Formats: sequence, structure tokens, C-alpha cells
Amino acid sequence: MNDLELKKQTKLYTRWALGLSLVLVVIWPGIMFSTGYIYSLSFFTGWVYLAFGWLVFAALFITIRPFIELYKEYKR
Amino acid sequence: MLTPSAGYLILIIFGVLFTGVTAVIHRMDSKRKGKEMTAEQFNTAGRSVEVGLASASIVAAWTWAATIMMSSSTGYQYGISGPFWYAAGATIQILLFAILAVHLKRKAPNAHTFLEFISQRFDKKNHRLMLVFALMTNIIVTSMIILGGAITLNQLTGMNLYVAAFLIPVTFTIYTMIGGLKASFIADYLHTVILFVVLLIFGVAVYYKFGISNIYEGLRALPESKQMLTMASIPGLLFGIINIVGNFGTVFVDQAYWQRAIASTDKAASKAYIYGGISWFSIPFAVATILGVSAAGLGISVSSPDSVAPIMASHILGSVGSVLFLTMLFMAVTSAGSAELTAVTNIIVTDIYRHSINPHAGSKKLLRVSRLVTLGFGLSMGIFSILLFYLGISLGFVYMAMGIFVSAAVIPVTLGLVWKRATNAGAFYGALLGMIGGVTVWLISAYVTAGHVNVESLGGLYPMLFGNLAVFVISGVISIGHALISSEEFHFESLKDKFKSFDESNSMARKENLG
Repeated sequence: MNDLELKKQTKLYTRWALGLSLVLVVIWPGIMFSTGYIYSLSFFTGWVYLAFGWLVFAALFITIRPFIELYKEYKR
Repeated sequence: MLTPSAGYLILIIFGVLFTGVTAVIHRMDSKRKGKEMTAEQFNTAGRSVEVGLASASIVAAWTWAATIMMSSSTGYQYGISGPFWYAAGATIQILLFAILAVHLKRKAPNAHTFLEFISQRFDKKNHRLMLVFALMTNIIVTSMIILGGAITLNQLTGMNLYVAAFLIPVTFTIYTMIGGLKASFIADYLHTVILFVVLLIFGVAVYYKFGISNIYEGLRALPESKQMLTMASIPGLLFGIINIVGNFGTVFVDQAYWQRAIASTDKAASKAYIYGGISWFSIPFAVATILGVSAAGLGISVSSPDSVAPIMASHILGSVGSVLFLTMLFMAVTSAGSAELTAVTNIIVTDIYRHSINPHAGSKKLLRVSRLVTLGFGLSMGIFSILLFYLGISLGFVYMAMGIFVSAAVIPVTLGLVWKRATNAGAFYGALLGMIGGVTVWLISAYVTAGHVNVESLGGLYPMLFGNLAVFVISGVISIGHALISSEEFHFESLKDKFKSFDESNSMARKENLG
């Protein structure tokens, strides 16, 4: 990659990294903390589904993505 | 409970299996590309790893025994806020590392270690100091990972602790010696996939068998139910803050993470950290919800919250659950351990052997030294973890206190990479005084809160918090302050040709032959 592209990437990933970090440790827990909400059964169920669903997506991504890359490389 | 022979069997079967499979895949891969193994290839994986494999290896390196055991413990103790804070508090360092990855690709695309970058960016003094920080980080992390695995094996199967501590590293030292960094990435991939599969099995089993509403009612019936079912939990929040602050050092000062950026293509490096971070979040978040929060809801009693995960695993699926749990733990321990092994190898070869002992060594010589260092450190990992065991302090304590010892280098190293005005003196004294100051604040606050200084008072949440924070404040103020006062400017362009490939002498010889 040339320097100009890398400069663009720097901007892009700095934004993503800072943005996602802000969401994970300030915004999301901040809202849940400040409201002091105590989970109802349905909210708790949703929370468990969120944890499980996130796990499924992560597992699929980590398992499949390297194969797609290998396949692309092989075709080349 | 399982017998010691089950422990040995799992270790031996997985050890042989993974060594074999990894060696075969690695051989096929390098044959297809028609590349011979060189020192550069061994230590950087050819700088050609794509996003998927890089993300998998980042997830593998950051998944320790603690990610399974300690996160479950927080879920059991603090309720639903524990898993969240464990996951979020240790994900952001991976996400933020994406920024360092792209800066490294821009400014020092040919460096082998972040210390090699430091040696060109700053002076000799800084290189030596950061080398000490880096090796200290690797050795503490290695000991924790291996000891964590060995203790769990010992608790679950009764297998001898010392034998376990020596055998675990052997299982990954062999394939790393053969194929270097690339082989360890392939093994990381296999390990991570298996870990996810086991976790999914536990997830389905626990809610199918016990039902979400039963777990919920159980949590409601607990005396501390108010705290268990809300994010607004003060102990949870305090743990979250310590987790965030303490984990910066173990990512930013650990060559294992720099190595994954170095091994990736320019395009993949940062992306892999974003994807890897988001994927990793799900592991402690799910594991601690499935094995920790559920255990509290089902009213499972444990002698210590730290051992809740394996007990819950066998509660869910009996002895099959125990074997599955051991499998998952073994996957986490070996791939995190092999990440540390390749990191230390690279540091010793680049920053000690080539930097100070034999600067003109050719590729063949460097490859031989790399393999010897891998073997040597692989065999001594067990010794380090036994030493930690003999110190007699708990792993939870080391996990929380580690930041105070290693994080002082975080701000100086980061500034050196992203800011042209960072200075030699600022970086050096920032890191040095940051650590000294942090330890002092830690000791003083332990004395003030408890009236005496011992392991127990030092392990308190507030002394840990103040110690960890002081490290960042002091190192930050000194390194930023000095840079602002002096108006030095560093030209990053001057670095472009400073990093020589390990194969340089070889490729030059080849060119001459062709010419």
C-alpha cells in the first residue's frame, strides 16, 4: 500500500477503534448504570440471547473467514 | 471428577494431534508456495497473513485460562455486570491496538519487534529499559498462563502440578520450532475453532437443561439479588475500571500483539484487531454468563468463586462436561502460551542476539538461533510458572497487580509511535518513574486503607486501583510534559531504511548469482 492509502487507513481505524471503545466502556454501560435498571425476566432472556448470539457470530466469522481467504489465494 | 490418567491422556492426545496436524498443514502451505524456511519467514510469517487468520490468532493469544476461570468468577460474584466488565474492559485494548498497528505499518513496515522500532526511534537507554519491560511482561504473562492451566488440570484430574506445568509448554514448543510463527497461527486457528464449539455446546446445554426463567428466579431469590440483576453494581464497576487500566500493559507492551500486526499484510493489520476484538468480546461475555451467572442462579455452592467454571461445567454435562471443559481450557492455554513463546523468541533474536551479540549473522544462522531459543524458552516456561507458584500468591492477585509493574511503558511507547514530538528523556523517565511511582502509591494506599502492608491489603480493590492509575498519570505527565517543554521533532521518514530483513545477506547473494 502507498503512503496516501495508509494515511486514509490511519484515520479510518482510529475512528473505529475510539468509537467502539467509547461504546463498550462509556456509552453502553453508562446508560445501564445511570438508570439503575434491574433486569426483568424478558430483559434477562434478551441479554442471554445477546451473549449467545454474539458468540455464534464470532464463531462463524473466525471459522469461515480464513477458509474464504485460502480459497481466494488458491484461485489466484 | 476425573482421574490423573485422564489429565495425562488429554495432554498427550492433544499434544500429539496438534503437533501432527499443524506440521502437516504447515508443510502443505509452504510447499504450495514453494518457499523455503528462512529466519525472516520463521519470525514474521512472511508478513502476508490475511484478516481471518490474523483475527483468529489475536483471539487465541488474548484467551487465557483466566478468560474462562476469572470471568466466570466475576459472573458468580457480581452477577450480570461481571461478564460485561470482564469482556468490555479487556476488549478495548485490542480495539485500540488497531491504531498502533496501522502506525507501525506506515512508519516501520520492516521492523521485527516493537523494541527494534524503539531502538531507532529513541536512544540506547530507552531500548534497554523497554527491553526489560517487554521481557518482564512476557515472563509474567507466560507464568500466569501456564500456571493457570496447570492448577486447573491439577484440580480437575488430580494430575501432578509440576508435571502439568512442564508438559503443557512441550505440546506447543515442537510445532513452533518446526514452523515458526506461521505454524503457531495455524494451531491458533484450530484451537480457537474448538474453543468456540465447546462453548456453544455449554451454552445450548445449560439453557436447554435448566431453562432461563429458572436461572432468573434463582438470581431473584438470592439475598444480593438487587446487585446480581443490574449493571448498576459498584463492585462490578470497580472491577471494570481495574480491568481496563490493568490490561493496557499486557497488550501494548507484549510483543505477541505487535507480532500479529507485523505478520499481517498492510491492509489486514488494523482490520484484524477490530474484528479480533469484537469476536473476543463474546468469549468472556458468554462464558461468564453461561458458567458464572447461571451457577449463581442455580444456587451452586463453591469453596472459592475462582473455581466455579469447572464445577458448573460438570454440573451441566457430568464427566463429559469436565472433559469438554478441560479441552476448552487446554485450547486457551496452549495457544496463548505459544503466542508468548514466539514473542520471546523474536525479542531475543532481534533485540539481544542480532542487536548486541552478532549483528552480521546471516539467515541460516538466525534461523538456527531462533529454533534454539524457541526450544530453550519453551522448556523453561514450566520453570517460570513453578517459581510463581512458589511465591504463593494467587493468580487473581497477579492478574490485577500486573498492570502496576508493566503499564508504565504503555504511554511512552505509544507516543513514540504516533507523535513526532515525543522525546528520549520523556519516554525514559516517564516509564521508569511511572513504575516506581505506581508501586509507591500502591504500597502507601494499602497502608492507609488497612493500616499495614501485606498480600491481603495490597490485593484490596482500592490500592490496586490507585496503583494502576498512578502509573498512567505519572508516566503520562512526564512523557507528554517533557515533549511539550522541549521542541524536538522526529522525522519518521528517516526510519524507512533502518530495518534490515533477516534474509538480507541471502537475498543479496542470490541477486549476485542471478546477475
